[in-house]
Amino acid sequence: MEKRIRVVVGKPGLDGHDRGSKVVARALRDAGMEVIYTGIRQTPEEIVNTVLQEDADILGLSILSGAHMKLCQKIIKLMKEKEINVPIFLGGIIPADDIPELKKMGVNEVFGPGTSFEDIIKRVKEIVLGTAV
Amino acid sequence: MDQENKINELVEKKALWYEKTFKKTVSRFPERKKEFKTSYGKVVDPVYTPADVKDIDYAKDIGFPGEYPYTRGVQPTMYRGRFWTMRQYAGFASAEESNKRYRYLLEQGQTGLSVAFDLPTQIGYDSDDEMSEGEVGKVGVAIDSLKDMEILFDSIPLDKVSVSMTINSTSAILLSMLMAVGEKQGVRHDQLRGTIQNDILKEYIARGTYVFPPDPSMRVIVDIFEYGSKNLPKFNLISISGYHIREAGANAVQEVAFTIADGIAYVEAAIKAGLDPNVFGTNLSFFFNAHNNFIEEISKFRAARKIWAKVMKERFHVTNEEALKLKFHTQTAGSTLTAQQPMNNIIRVTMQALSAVLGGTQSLHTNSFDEALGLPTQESATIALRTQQIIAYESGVTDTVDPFAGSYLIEHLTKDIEEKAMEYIKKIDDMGGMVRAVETGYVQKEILNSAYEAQLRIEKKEDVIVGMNEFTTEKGSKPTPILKVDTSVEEKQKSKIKELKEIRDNNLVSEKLSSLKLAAASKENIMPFIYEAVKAYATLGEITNVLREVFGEFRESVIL
Amino acid sequence: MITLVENHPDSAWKIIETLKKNTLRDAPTVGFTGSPGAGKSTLVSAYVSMMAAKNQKIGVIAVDPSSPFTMGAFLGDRIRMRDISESENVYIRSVASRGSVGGLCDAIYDIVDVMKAFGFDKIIIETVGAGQSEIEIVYVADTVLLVMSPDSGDEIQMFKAGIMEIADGYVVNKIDLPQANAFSVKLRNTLALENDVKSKRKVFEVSASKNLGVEELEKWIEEFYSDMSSSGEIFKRHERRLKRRVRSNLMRVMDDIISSQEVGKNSLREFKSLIVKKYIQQEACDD
Repeated sequence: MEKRIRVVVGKPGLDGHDRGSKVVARALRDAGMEVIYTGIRQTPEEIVNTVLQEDADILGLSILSGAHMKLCQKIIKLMKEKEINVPIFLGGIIPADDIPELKKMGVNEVFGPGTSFEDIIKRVKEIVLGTAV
Repeated sequence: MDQENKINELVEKKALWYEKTFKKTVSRFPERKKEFKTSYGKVVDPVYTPADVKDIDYAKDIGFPGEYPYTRGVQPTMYRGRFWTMRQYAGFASAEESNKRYRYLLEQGQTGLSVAFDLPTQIGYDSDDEMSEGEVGKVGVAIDSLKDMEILFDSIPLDKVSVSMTINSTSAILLSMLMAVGEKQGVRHDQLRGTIQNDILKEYIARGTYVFPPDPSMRVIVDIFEYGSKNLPKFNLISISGYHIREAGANAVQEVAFTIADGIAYVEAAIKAGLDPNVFGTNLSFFFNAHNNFIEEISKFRAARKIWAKVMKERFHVTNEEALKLKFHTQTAGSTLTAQQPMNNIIRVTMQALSAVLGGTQSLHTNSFDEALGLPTQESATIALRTQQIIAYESGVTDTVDPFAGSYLIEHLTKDIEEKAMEYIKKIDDMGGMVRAVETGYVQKEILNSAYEAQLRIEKKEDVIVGMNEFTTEKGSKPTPILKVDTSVEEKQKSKIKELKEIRDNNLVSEKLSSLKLAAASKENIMPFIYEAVKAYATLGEITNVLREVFGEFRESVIL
Repeated sequence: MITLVENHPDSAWKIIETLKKNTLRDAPTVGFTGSPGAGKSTLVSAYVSMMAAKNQKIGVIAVDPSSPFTMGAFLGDRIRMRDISESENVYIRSVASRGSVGGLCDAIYDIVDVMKAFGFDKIIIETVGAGQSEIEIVYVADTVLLVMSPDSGDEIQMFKAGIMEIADGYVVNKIDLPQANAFSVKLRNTLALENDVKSKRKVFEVSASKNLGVEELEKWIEEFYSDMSSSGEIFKRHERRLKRRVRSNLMRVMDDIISSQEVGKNSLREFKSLIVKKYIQQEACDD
């Protein structure tokens, strides 16, 4: 039985522009993954709780409001406290300058505007299954 | 009869042309695509003729500018009299910094202000609220109290400059603040000009800054209509928006249909509350998107005007001509701009802006080329403004009204978009109206389907985006300087709030908030109570929390 | 834990055996089924909310369909239960059907057992949706409620057979809609015309979003369960469940074996005995 990848996709913070996260959620589903979509206005606590209960293989965050540093920091801290070690991918409006620091923090991948579904799916599978697909 | 014969002859001639001349060429040089489609999937013919507009009656369907059904424009002179308002959306960090940017833009020739608020302000959280952490001042200016508003409009004469505020759930509060600032400047309420977006339905559909559930939200909007149509006759009390719906992935027909359906819902709610559409109808305005397909967009704007005029006249029996007119603001489509090769965006914005002008917009915002990277820098904001000025002063299209009328394609498309939009509106009527349609997730689903299809087309390169999926450049191009919002804004705002709470009359604030709570729980109009609370320097968060207690909070529950 | 049993059905029983040593009680399981749009999630949320407030620990399993083509799934029930997902007393697990045809998923029995072993007071299961064949819930849950909505066309007609037969109670949701009363009347009439057993079942009128009638429903579910316990009905259901579970397990193993064997030139009889041989071999290995 092929392992089904379980992905939690959500938008932390106050940003409500969810076209990207919804469309990516659909693409991941069409690629055979089980997607738990949490919607907008999620607190970091809610997101981490979901990741824990759903035993997610990977967490996808979408942030367009510029609050990504603070929010990712909080989420990663909470995951460490709960001893969850789940990889994270991030999309939205993320200045290139911030990417190195985000990766140092623990974000595995940042997808900028214009990234194709194909690339996202490929990379998610790579991160979760540990092999180049 | 003779006319009909001529048309039939023409149809035959076109068929002949198609079979002989056209096919001959295509057999040797095939067309670029099998089918050419509009954003809403209509197949476009290679060529259009009078036969394609034979059912259109000039007098009835097109008419003259400034006259029903306003297809050609809501004013008889349009830009010959006065250009559209060049109104660039701006705002970030603190009131001090935004004030500086506004004064710069006004000096550079901008003719109206458009205020962008940060997310905490839009969602009713003070800068020191837990929910605001990391978000203060990021996507717009942080306004926690009247004090900030006074700084925001320092040296900006509110009797001369019209102010548009992109604020929805908390618009009653910001409108009250604007009135209070005006008062301090000696400007009477009835002199104030501007707009509040105040369109909650599209928040549930596409934008997400809702606070309360639909029913209380509609009540607040109607309160604002009632209060505003009496006290702020020159103010647009709502900007019924299609921009965000389009940005969320809708096609042109859905943009028009869902926006008009929202409008219908608001008018119905107001009428139900006892208001007269002949009165509040003149305080309504709209907000549309200017997207890529140049010709489709021009047709779309014309169709929208016609539909609204008919809706107000035939459905709501409005007799005041001013209330039949669809006045609108346009913004060029942010979602079409790329992070790759950002300078290309200047060209995209130019074409989109031009379509809005040819479509007869009353007010326009052009995006900056760094849209996909961050908030506009001063340089990029200036270029965006210049784009409008060049179109206005140098292109010649503003020398006559509705110059593209009569084009077979444009008139044909205008009619087609009108018909298709009306089908959607009927469907929504059958569902019980827009509020119902939104509650069931129907609208959101339609939009998401369009969004997904659009993305697939890009991935398959059926739709080419220059510089992004085609004609790309290798990495290593010069990085574009972007605007960074200083994170110290949050701290500064927090201390401002602390200071404010120490020097204001806290007893007065409590009193005003209690009165507001009572009014909100009853059927009274809450506007005067909000105005009082604002003048006492109650914070935005304090006022919103009172309303949260009474109205409850909305939680998204739908949809994919 | 749940992921383990979901992905490794063959070892599931071993895992559960280990866990079971720690629990003494068997938590009641309540199933909610009904068409998409009936408001199951909203109702579950309101219902669980009530119990969580009384400090009960509730486990919720929300099942959504996997695409038959891509095997991907969109698990969107959790987002509709935001009120309870924040409660410390509630655990929500979204599960994809992964090709299972009964309206749930193949591993559902194992998942429920794992949850019971962790000491929940009650377990709530929300199914994919209801049609003629989505009846697995009846075996998995102790009590089954069919949730219907008056704005979904001719539901009663659709439900005549299948789930309508086996639900223990019917919930008419969205009772605040104008057409709700007429719908409820029609439902009761239809039930009255049916056989005795069906017509004795309770019909509830609720509005999940406005929290009307949910308290009544909760009380009734409690009473119904204790009635079943005292009358012995609960044991009949447990027996039925065990049989079904064994069958389900057998089928799964058989399916695996069948799909991995080559037919070659085997006749029907030869092929069948080959399968049986393989099965016995497999069982021996497992021990």
